[in-house]
Amino acid sequence: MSVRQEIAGFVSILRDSWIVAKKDLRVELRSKEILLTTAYFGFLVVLVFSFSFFYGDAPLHAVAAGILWVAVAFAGTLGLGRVFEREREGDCIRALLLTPIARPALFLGKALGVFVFMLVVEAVVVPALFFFFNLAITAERAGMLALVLLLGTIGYSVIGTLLASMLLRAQTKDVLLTIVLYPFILPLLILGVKATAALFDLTGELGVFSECVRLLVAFDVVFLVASLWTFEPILVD
Amino acid sequence: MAPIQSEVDFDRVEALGVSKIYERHRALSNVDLRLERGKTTALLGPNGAGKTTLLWLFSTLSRPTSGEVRFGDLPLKRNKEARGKIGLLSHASLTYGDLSGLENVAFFARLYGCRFPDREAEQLLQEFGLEDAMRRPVKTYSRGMLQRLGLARAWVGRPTLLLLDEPFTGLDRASTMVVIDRIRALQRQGTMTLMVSHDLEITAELADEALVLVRGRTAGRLTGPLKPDTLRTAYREMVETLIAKRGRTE
Repeated sequence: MSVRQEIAGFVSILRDSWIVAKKDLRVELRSKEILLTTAYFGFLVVLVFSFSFFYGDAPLHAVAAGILWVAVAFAGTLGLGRVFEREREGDCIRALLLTPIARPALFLGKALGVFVFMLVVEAVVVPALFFFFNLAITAERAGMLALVLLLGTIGYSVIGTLLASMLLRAQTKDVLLTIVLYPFILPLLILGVKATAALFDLTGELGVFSECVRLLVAFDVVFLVASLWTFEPILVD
Repeated sequence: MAPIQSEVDFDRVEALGVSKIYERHRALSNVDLRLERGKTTALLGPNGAGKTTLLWLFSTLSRPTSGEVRFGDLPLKRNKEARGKIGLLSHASLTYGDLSGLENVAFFARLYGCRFPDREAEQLLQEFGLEDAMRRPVKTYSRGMLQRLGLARAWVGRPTLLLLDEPFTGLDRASTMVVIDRIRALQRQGTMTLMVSHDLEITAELADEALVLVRGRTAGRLTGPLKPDTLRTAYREMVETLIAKRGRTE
């Protein structure tokens, strides 16, 4: 295969994955069920925890990083199940699998949809966290926080999409998804929490943050490659 | 019509000695079937006979445990070119309820590489008699409209092989006739069709030949012009004979 053909193939995968993701976003904009429920759930998690962890009269800053990632992870699980339920409802997944698009395009499209939904949830959860926990952060550290969230969300979307598609035909998929997802994303959550906690500690060093970011990048790359490789065998009998 | 991305074509599809085993259950056992352009083949048999399993093998979404499925001279590989020439209509319309009929068909047209997906979708929906409802969400469609939409969606890639998995389930007679007319129009354009149906009258109306399956094995083949009465009698004899034969050997 020539370099030109390889580039054309790559561009075609990106184009097709955008078509799939755009369809998911359009369906969601009509129903709004995933965004409303997950953002609401994420907000409630932050709210409830902000009343649970106090140090004297103020909420405890040290737990804020953990609560952020718990809210994102739990809300993400809610959204993941629903994204794939839509493909199952009208048996649309079969029609999608019969189209001539490359399987990686289908995977990337679904993962991109989940990624965007999670970003919206984070856009609600992060301001709520800062408000309820009285957090302060510098502009530079806010950018770093965005980077950590971005990397964590990429990893979560990739692994979540792979596992949710694996369980597409399982009868108890919602329960199973939770059981199989968390062992896989546990390293990602730990890295996210440690990096975020380092950012929230304004007097602390950022060495831990840099180390966690490097590991998050490695985590994302490894799981993205593995997912693209295993997606097709998972979906075909 | 706008050009559709297509690199592969085939004039016949064959299943050669295919078997399919799910864990310990043998769903299909050494079945042969040849489909040809412009012909409709029906898969008949009682529940659990392996009809849908065989249909899925032809769809490329399932692979045989043993044996081979060939598209023309190509062996079964789930490559995107062969996949793009297969259309599927089942009892579900395989469309998204929150999107309109137009958005659904245009979405699939985009994935098939159509240059003008919206225009293509509009033309198809007009062709399938859905011009008045094309901008309504699909969840508001009647069962008959859903099946016509499903056919329009299946027709986006101009399939060489059309797979029908009990597409008439739940349709009233009038809607069934509309869908049959559309399928006949596709047959006239040279599409080869493989259909699974429990309705022997519809089978007699649409099919040129039938393969009867019982418990995953071939019980017999019916060819020539199929008439409901002769089809019913022959089908019953084949099923009863095979069941009795297997009963004696078990």
